Amino acid sequence: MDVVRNNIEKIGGKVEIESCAGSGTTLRLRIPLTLAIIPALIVRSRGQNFALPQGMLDELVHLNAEQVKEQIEWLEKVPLYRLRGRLLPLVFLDRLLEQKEDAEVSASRYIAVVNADSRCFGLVVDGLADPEEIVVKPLSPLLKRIGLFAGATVMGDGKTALILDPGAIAIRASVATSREGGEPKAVAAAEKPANSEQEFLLFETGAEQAALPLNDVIRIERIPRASVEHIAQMPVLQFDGALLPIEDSSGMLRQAANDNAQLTVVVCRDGERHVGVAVSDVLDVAKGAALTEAGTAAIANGVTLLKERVTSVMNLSSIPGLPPSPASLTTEIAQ
Amino acid sequence: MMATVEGTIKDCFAVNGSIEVCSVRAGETAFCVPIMQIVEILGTLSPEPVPLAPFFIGGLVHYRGEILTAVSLRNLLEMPASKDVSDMLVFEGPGEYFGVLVDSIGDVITVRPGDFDENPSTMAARGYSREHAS
Repeated sequence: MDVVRNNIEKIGGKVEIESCAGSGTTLRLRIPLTLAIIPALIVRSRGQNFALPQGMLDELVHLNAEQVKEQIEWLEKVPLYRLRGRLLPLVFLDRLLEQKEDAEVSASRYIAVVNADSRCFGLVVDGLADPEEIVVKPLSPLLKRIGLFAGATVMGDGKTALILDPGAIAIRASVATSREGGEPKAVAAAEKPANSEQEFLLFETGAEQAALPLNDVIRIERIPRASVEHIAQMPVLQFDGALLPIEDSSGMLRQAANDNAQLTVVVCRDGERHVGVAVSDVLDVAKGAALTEAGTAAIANGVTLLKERVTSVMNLSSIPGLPPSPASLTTEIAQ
Repeated sequence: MMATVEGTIKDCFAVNGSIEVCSVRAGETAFCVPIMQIVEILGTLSPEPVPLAPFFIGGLVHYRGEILTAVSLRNLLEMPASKDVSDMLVFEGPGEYFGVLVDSIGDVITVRPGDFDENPSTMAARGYSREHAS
């Protein structure tokens, strides 16, 4: 059902549900009537006009004759263009469509940077015309088989134009899918400088505020106080079939009014183990900056500057582990 | 489609004794089409070529708000392409309309069975013409 909603919203529609216990459920799918009208950019290749759907168009680059020679790089007969440091595979529309040579065409080119379902490439065309809202008309099955055209349209001046299918062009030109943001390895490395700008979960325990590195936070659970059990005075929680020691130096458990009172427990990772921290309130997520000690310029441990306030970062390793319990106690809890 | 044309012609001859055909020209050759088959006749068109289309497709034509796929008779007969504007006959095929582009459209003439001769045997192999009227 989530897939249905995503797809309908992608085309500008809405899904509405009306449900009444005992009476039935009504699902309303609203699809805009103007589905068949799409904004497109008219591009020219060898004297012929084609419509390029604007939804997939990221940007346009103009290259004059000289730039065409210099900036389009050829690697083993494969054309590439360096767009702001990123290598963009190029597809020449006239070659793809096997159009005849036209002496009248100028040497300058336009590159339409297209992103079709995360296949990024540059479509090289001779010229650009106006953007137009075009009505998509289906092609006959014989022409659909060509695969590169999504349909045809009649433009404002009465002439017909074929609508290009960037996704099919990408597949035909063997453009691979790419992840957003380029090389993933670089992104992973960027996460390492942890202390300079790291995100923290800011929470309140009683009267004080403290922070935990957001990367270490797994879940925030709200549980009734009755769920917290004790082994040798130490509060523990059954979580995901395992035992979770609870850090409660602030005494949230004692403050809970009765067994049904809801407690907020932040489940986090501490090296190999998971621990829970009982808090009174989760306040915010914020970027914390490392603080240095005045004079020594050494990074101060255990504190961070969060929202202009010095906040102590909870040291999870200080939470005692589960006490080694006799076998009988463990089986009791397991039940 | 050829079978139905033959059948229709025979029916018409049975009823009227003659049929009306529209003459068209592609290159030097004249052809005729029974006018019952024709939905509409359009003149002076420049079809939009479709890259990578099968060889017999002449292009796309804007027809009554729809986009019509047009077969080029010249291409079908493997004649060299012509840059002149074409006339077009609109036919109804299974499920959709399509057009046939010809160089020019001539008169409607009435023919009788006696006017028809058999195809020369050397032409039989081509398959797309059945009879030619003298």
